[in-house]
Amino acid sequence: MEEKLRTIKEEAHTEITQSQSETTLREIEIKYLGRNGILTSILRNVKDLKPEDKPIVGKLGNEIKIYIANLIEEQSKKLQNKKFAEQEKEWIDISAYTLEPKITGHLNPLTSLQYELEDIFKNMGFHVWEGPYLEKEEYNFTALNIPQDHPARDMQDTFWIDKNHVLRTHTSPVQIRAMQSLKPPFRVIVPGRVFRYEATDASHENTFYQLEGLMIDKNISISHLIYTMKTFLSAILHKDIEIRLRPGYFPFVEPGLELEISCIFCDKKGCSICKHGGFIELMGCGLVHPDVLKYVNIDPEVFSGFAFGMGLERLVMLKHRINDIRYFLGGDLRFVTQF
Amino acid sequence: MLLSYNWLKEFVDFTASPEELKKILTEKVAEVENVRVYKLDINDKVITAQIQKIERHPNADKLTYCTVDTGSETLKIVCGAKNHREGDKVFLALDGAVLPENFKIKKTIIRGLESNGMLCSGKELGILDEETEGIMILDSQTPLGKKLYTFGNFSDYVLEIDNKSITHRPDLWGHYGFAREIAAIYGKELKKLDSSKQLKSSAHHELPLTIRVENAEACPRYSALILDNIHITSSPLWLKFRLNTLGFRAINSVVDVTNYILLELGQPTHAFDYHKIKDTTIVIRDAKENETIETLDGTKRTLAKTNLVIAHNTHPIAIAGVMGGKITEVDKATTAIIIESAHFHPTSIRKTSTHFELRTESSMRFEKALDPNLTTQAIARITELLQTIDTNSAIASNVFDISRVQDKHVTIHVPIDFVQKKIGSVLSLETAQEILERLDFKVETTKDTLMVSVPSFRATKDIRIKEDIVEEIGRIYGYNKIEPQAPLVPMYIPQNPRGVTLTRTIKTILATTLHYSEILTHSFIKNKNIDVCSINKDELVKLQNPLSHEEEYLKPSLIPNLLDMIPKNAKHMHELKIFELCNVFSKQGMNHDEHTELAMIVNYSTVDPFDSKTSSSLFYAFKEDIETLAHILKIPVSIEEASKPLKWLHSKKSACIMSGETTLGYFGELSLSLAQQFDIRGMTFIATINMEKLKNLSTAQKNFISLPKYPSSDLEFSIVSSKTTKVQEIEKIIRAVNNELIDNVRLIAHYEGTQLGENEKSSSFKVTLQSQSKTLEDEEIKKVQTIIIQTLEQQGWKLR
Repeated sequence: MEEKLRTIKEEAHTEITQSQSETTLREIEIKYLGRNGILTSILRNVKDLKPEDKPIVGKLGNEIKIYIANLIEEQSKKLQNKKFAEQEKEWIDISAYTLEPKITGHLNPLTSLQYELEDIFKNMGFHVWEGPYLEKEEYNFTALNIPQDHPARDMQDTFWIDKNHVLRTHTSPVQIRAMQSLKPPFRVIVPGRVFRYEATDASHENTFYQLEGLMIDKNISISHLIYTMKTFLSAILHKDIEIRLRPGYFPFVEPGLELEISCIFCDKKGCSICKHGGFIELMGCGLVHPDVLKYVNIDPEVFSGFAFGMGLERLVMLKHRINDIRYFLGGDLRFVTQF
Repeated sequence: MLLSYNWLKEFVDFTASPEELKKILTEKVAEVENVRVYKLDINDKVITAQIQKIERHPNADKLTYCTVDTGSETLKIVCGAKNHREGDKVFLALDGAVLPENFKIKKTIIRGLESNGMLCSGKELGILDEETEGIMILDSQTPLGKKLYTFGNFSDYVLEIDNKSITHRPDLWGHYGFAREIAAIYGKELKKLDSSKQLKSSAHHELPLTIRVENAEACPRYSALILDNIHITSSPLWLKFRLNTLGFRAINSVVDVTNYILLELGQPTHAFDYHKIKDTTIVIRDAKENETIETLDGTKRTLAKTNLVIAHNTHPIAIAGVMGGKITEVDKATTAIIIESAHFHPTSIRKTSTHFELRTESSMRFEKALDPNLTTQAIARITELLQTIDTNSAIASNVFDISRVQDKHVTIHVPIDFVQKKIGSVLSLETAQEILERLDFKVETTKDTLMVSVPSFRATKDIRIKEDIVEEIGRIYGYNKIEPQAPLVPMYIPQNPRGVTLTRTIKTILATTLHYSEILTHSFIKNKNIDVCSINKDELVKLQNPLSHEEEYLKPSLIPNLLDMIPKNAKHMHELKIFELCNVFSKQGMNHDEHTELAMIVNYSTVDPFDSKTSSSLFYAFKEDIETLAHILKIPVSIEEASKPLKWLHSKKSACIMSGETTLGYFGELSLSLAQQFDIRGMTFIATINMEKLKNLSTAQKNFISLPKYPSSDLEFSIVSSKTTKVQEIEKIIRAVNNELIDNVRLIAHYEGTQLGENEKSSSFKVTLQSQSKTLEDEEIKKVQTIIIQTLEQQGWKLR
């Protein structure tokens, strides 16, 4: 019997170590260790053996059973490792690609810039407001200290709906709406679409986007304006920029200022973009005109403020070196999907 | 406006280079856009000469062969011009002369004849900017052999001022105004322009004239002077050069002098030929309806009642402040002139100029509200200058001066701490006072306040309140000297209106999660699209002044403009997913409605639009996009059959987007006939959502549902039903079998085809059973399965 067990062990050893697949290993397992397996049968019949043989055969049988089970597991691991090693050898051409590429969605670069600016100003405690495109003549002009006979009201500059309504020519009327609703002190920005009666070319559009800002508080000065402008412009342009102010005329501010930034392309050395001046004209700003404050019942002797406004297209065009303003509303996805 | 650097120097002694001047003026006064350089190298190779004889060039029809006397020698010159006559005096560039743009003159053979130099045009010499007819003919009194540079300085720098930056500054529309600013900036003396000359007629030279101002509101001041013994000539070269470099064409001595003073003082004037004025009467009045005038530019114009005119007894002789008339034009035969120097109301001039679409150097200035004191000053300067050129001319009247102008004395009290607070810089009372005085303000002070009296040239509209004074001090002091300072402000969390936040969230989801790209289109709708989309024009908002008659209305929907964008993009990509979120407009009775709308469009340009199987799967994909959007927004929506489907959509493959009782919008497949009108190929789906309605909905409150403790079990059923049976209906019936245990019912497969009847479809559902209290036993699961099968069969549906 002992002899027989030893033979079984040897045969099993050979079969297992020569086995090349998980399937044959399972078959071998069933053959020896299964419910009706060779070894199982022997062990089941130990009770019929002579009493002196029982412990020897029983012990040896169980040892062999464990031996076979371990060997199967060992071989199984070997086979698996071999597979892994083979899988490691597989090669793929990483320069090839999917045959049906996924389309991706893109925001218009104007929108992306607007949101970037909103985030910067929100961090400085500015609300974000919007207003209607079809605006009362009163809010678009009169309230902003633009007198009845000012050229800006001409048919040459403004789209008129009727004698009391226009397509807003700037986001500034929303200043009036904000000042009528919010109690000073406050800070607010107004991004949005505006309209000018103007023929379209590479640098002019009849429809474009502005971002307007307003800060009303006690004792607001030009030095605060400079600080705030420098802070937000450095943030949006990701560069520590220098700003320069010069007189400019806008009826709703006094003093009125034109703001220029140090050229982001040449660091003031002079290049074609800054027309070799080292500075780029970017926006208008100033201290809110007392007549505008009076119009919305804010006492200019108590409160003062600054306002600023800029064209978003200009900033996007500078940032991305876009050479034609017509792309923004042109509806060409080959433009939009670049951003 | 253009400024001559050398001219400015005649008024102020400053040392700044043209580039430095450009910089400092831009920083403190007005934007200088550019500096033009006029440079004539002084050499003695260009001299005056007289043409003695002109012969035809034997070998060239267009050339002449001239014999020219320089005073010291006689030279032969080949010349290509046509305007020269024998006896004319001209400029001759000799062998070795170098003209502007490095044009070297050499002795040479032209078509077989020797030429010893060149007869020059004004442009070739760099004196005149404009190409005048042929070579420059000099005054007959000019001596021979005189070198060009002895005629004057023909080099200069011209500064281009951005007109927009001086619209509010009537005092800056002439050189003298800028000179005043330069003097203030550098603390230098400004040359006085007061003429010491008495403007009185000499007894034997009195010419009669009556002036009547009928509309004193439009013409508050009218000054005039008559000059006799005028001899019209061509202006001296220095004057021509100056006018030319500043953008004016030289015409004759009188016109050139009036233009020169316009450029000097900013005051427009006009010269009439005295003898062409009928009955020696000038009337300033409103035009009569349909009266006509031929203006100096040769155009016949029909006047309206709102136009102010200068007239003699019968006819208008000038459109006031805009342009003179042909019938009283000064010409070679003129011997006496009336110099008009008036003050017109800015609005009247602007309206007239707009009416004729005629913006002249004169109207541009009158529009700005000029200093009324300039009228007589300009007459004095014109007379002074004209008499140095036309020495025999004589004053033939006293100065007429019909004035209703009252001297405005504007005095403004400005506390110095007001200035400091506005600028944000500690600036002393003395500094402020000094700056203002340099700008010709009169200033008195107390210990802490400036009492500023405003000069007349700044008081017309520019300077009115103390903030205006802050600007004067600030700009001359230098805005760029102000240190940036962080404002001390109360801290608060910005609150944005819901519309603002929602718009941003939606745009972000559409672009980043659902892969739609944002397209922006104009706010106008094409007339063509109004018809194609069967929109009722009565419900549209119309522009009074459209840019084009193709686009007269504001868009009532985003869809038509977006559809226009599809064909050109489809050329480059087969699958388009686009959106726009913008305002749309409509008219309701007398009122305008404006609200924000969201539009989404998907187009598969290569998909066969008649392939119904693809159509339905693409429809469901689009529907899923809308549902995903709503899900992320936490707004509960349901897709329901539209009782009145949107007319642009397929009548069956469309639905409305509901939230509770609110209709948020519509979506579906674009009708093929409309697609065809827009030249759109393939299959297209569109959706519109009213943002106003969306923003008024409250978001769903999300409460946590405990995760299941016990395993769930799935059952599958394939049901054959009629084609028109709704999936929603089957789901509802299955759910009703056991609300407690059925956790989810979901469609997993769908089949229509040859294995089924023509009006049949098969739908497979996965039903998930889940108990909150135990692991379900096989028997329990079986029981539910049996009831579901029974229930479905009761509906007359077969199971597969």
